[in-house]
Order: sequence, then structure tokens, then C-alpha cells
Amino acid sequence: MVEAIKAHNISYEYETAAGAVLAVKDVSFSVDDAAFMCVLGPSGCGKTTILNMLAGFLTPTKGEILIGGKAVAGQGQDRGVVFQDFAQLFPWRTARRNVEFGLEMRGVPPAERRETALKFLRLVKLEKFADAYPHQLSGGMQQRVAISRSLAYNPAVLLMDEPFAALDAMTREEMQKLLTEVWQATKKTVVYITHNVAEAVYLADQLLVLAAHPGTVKAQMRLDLPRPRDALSTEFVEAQREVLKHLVH
Amino acid sequence: MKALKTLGASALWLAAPFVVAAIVWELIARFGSFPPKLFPSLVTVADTFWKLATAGLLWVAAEATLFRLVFGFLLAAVVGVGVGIAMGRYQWAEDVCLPVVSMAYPIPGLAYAPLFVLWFGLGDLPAILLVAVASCFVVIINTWKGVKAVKPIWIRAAESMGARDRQLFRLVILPASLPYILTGLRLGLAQAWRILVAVEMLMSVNRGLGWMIFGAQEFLNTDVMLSSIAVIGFLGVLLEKQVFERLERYTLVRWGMMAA
Ligand SMILES: Nc1ncnc2c1ncn2[C@@H]1O[C@H](COP(=O)(O)OP(=O)(O)OP(=O)(O)O)[C@@H](O)[C@H]1O
Ligand SMILES: [Mg+2]
Repeated sequence: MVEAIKAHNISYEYETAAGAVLAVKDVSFSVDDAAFMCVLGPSGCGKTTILNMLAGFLTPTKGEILIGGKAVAGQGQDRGVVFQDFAQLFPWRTARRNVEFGLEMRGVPPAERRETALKFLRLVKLEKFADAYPHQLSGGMQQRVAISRSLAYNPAVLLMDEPFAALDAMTREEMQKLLTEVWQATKKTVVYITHNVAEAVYLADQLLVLAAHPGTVKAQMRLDLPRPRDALSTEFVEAQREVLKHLVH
Repeated sequence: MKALKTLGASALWLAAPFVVAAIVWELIARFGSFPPKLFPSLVTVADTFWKLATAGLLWVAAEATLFRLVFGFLLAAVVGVGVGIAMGRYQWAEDVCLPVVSMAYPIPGLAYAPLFVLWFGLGDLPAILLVAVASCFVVIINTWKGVKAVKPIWIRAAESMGARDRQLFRLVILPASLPYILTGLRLGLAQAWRILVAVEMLMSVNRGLGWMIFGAQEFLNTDVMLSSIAVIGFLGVLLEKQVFERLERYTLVRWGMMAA
């Protein structure tokens, strides 16, 4: 199996007025090509910090990250990022023009851009809302636009930081199902951050469990439940119990 | 029919404060202790307004004033937005400009007027430049604050999609700080009006609404003064409704960045 992402002993220290805060300490992991990895851990364990290093917003104070075999240095179009905050969409652009943004940066001509954007909006079932502005969409719809925006310019890796955490339970379930379909259709490598065990078990092939203060790897495991997964099946509940065991001990 | 009625009702509401003010004015003019020459009845003012308008004098004055206003203000807008964005984005620009801007901002523009007369002589050029200088600081300050207030998540999102300097400016920072920029431009325009009317007196221009007001003082022509003041009011409302509110509806309101 090819490794799409490899993190080698990465640490991150925040400089604050009160001194240095070691948020992440000697974390190593690797993600298979086209795999869905969930990073699971309690609040403050450094999940967002790790994602920001993968995205290139932060540079590890120690260690190295390889994506597609190349060392990460700053942001790049080989990665797409979806944030938790609904406000990530540009309010001055329609859904379609938001999705076009990455292609525009690449100099793709308008007609082709439009075609591609509509294709990716169709993927998240929002083609009817192509001309709506973000403020006219619900939170869940905005996150769907954000997902198609980060896929449209065809990055190899999709990085997601609790994208559905602020949604209601029912919408969240729909979104998880949709995301699984989108992932299977596009074959991206996904790193997905969550603090929700059921969500992680529903989505992940690979699982990275973190412990807090400082953020370290507690366990790494693989989940090979058949898809689509049924949250009420015994295997699912069993897997959840297994993960929980790692989390509390 | 019903629509017509509500339209009539809203027009009435709109007119009400003016009607009240007019009645108060008229009462003072007729029964107050001012001589009519100094506190003319609105009938006299309306009559004078009509005469000045039909003779073309008001238009000539308004045209001259608008010419100075528009050029001075546009200059302030371009420079102000440019400097403000640079200050918001680059630490060195902020370090260099902020002390100067914050010191110059509270100085009344009129204080520079004699200096400008000495440097540029009299006429339109110093008037335009003075309007530009007086109104650019408020544009700079608001633009700078607007750029500082741009949500970091928009910049992160844009950068992760490959946006760099120029694209980031044009496609993200500019639209994202538009609420503040528009506020700055509005305040800048108000500032431009304020200084221009005074400048027209000081710069010995030979046309303009401000010139007309001060010129009329010599002959106690209060009706002429009030006519010019009314035109300034009309033009102000016109610019607000036709330029700023339109721009706002087309951008901020449509984007949901401002309530309708
Ligand atoms: N900008 C910062 N400056 C200083 N310390 C920070 C900063 N951001 C995060 N930290 C610290 O680093 C640690 C990890 O933070 P991080 O945001 O990565 O956690 P997280 O796992 O994403 O938490 P959550 O689930 O609440 O989002 C925390 O202890 C936090 O206090
Ligand atoms: Mg977080």
C-alpha cells in the first residue's frame, strides 16, 4: 500500500506571553493512499494543531511531514481544507463561484471552470443552489459547498477539521453518509478530525487516537467494517467499544 | 389601489418632519422678532430659488462645486483605500503611516488652507487638493480597520486554494473589507462637503454654492443663502441614495453582509 501522508515525529510548540506551550509531542503516523483517516481525541489534545501542520498553516517545530512523498512547506493545491466554521465560504460569491475559486487561481478558463464547479456541486446534491449566496443556505448546505469547493481543484488530500460538529444530529448523519459517497466517488485521501467516537467508527479506515497535554499518539488502529456501515449493527457497536477503551485508558 | 394608499402614506411619513420644520420656520419668520430680510419667509425663499434656478445661476454654482467635490473626493478615495489596504496588510506600511495618519486625522482640513493658497495659488486646483487631503484620512483609517477585521478563515481558505498577493487583495481582502470601506467613503464625502463650502470662500473662486452663500452675506441676501443651502442638501441626499445606497444594495445587502 502506498502512503499518501507520512508524519515523522512532529511536535508543535506555541509561543505565548506566559511561555511556550507544547501542544503536540513526537507524533508519528501514516495514511494510506485513498484511505479515510480519523483523528480522534479529547478537546485540547492538538487535533487542530496537527491538521494545521498538514495544511501548511503551521510549521512543525520538530519533525517532518511528507505528502505524496514531498516535504510540506506552506500551503499548496495538493491539499484541500474544510474548516468547522460555516463562515469559511466567501459571502460575496455564489455557491458556484465559491467552488470555482481554486480553479480560478490555476487559470482555468471560465467555461471549463463553471462546468467543473457544477459537477462538484452535483456531487454534494446542491446543483439547484449554484446561484445562491452562502447566506441563503443552511449550515449543512454551506458545509457541502465547502466540501465541493475543496475538491473542485482536484487535490490529492482532503483535510477536514470537525466540519459537521456544529450541525444538528440528523443533518450530521446525512452529511456523514454523503461524505462517504463523495469520498468513494473521488478516491481522495482524507484526514478527518473529530471528537465523536461514533462518527469516527462510521467514517474511518484508519484511526489515530490522541491523548492530551501534551498531544501524543495513544493508539493507531484499522477499521475494516463493510460499507455502507450500519450504526446499529453488533460489529459497529463492538468497534465503538474497542475505540472507547483506548480513549479512556 | 391599496398599494397606492400605502405609497401615499409612506410619502406622508417621509414629508412629515419637513412639514413640521417648515411650519416652525414660517411661524418664526412671521411672528418672531427677526427682520424679514434676515429671516425670510419660505415663500420668499422659494421665489428666489425659482428665479435663481430658471436663470441658470444655481446650476452653474452646483456644477462648479460638484466638479471640485467629485475630483477631490475621488482622489481621496483612491489614495485612501490604497494606503489603508497597504497599512492593513503590511506591518512596515502600518509602522510608517499610522503615526502620520493618526496625527493628521484630527487636524481640521481648513487649517491647511492658507498653506495650500501659498503653494498652489487660488482657484480649482488648491480647492480640489484640499478637499482630497481633508477627506482621505477618514477613508484610510476605516479601510485599514476593515482589512484588519477580515476573517482570517477567508484568507486561510483562499491561500489553501492557491491565492497569492494580487489575487488575495482583489478577490478576498477588498470585498471582505467593503463594509468598512463604504463607511469610510461615506464619512469622507461628508468631510469633503464640509471643507469645500468653506474653501470656496477662502480660495476666491468665482463660482460655486459655497461662494454663493458667502457672497450673499455682503448684501444680506438670506434667501440666496438658503437656496444654496437647500441645493447642498438635495445633492447630499442624491449622492447618498443614488451612489452609496445603490452600491450597498448591489454588494453588501446582496451578499448578506448587511441587513437590507
Ligand atoms: N494559538 C495558540 N496559542 C497558544 N496555545 C494554543 C494555541 N492554539 C492552541 N493552543 C493550545 O494547544 C493545545 C492544542 O490545541 P488544539 O486547538 O490543537 O486542540 P484540539 O484538539 O483541536 O481541541 P478541540 O477539540 O477543542 O478543537 C491546547 O492545549 C491549546 O491550549
Ligand atoms: Mg480543534
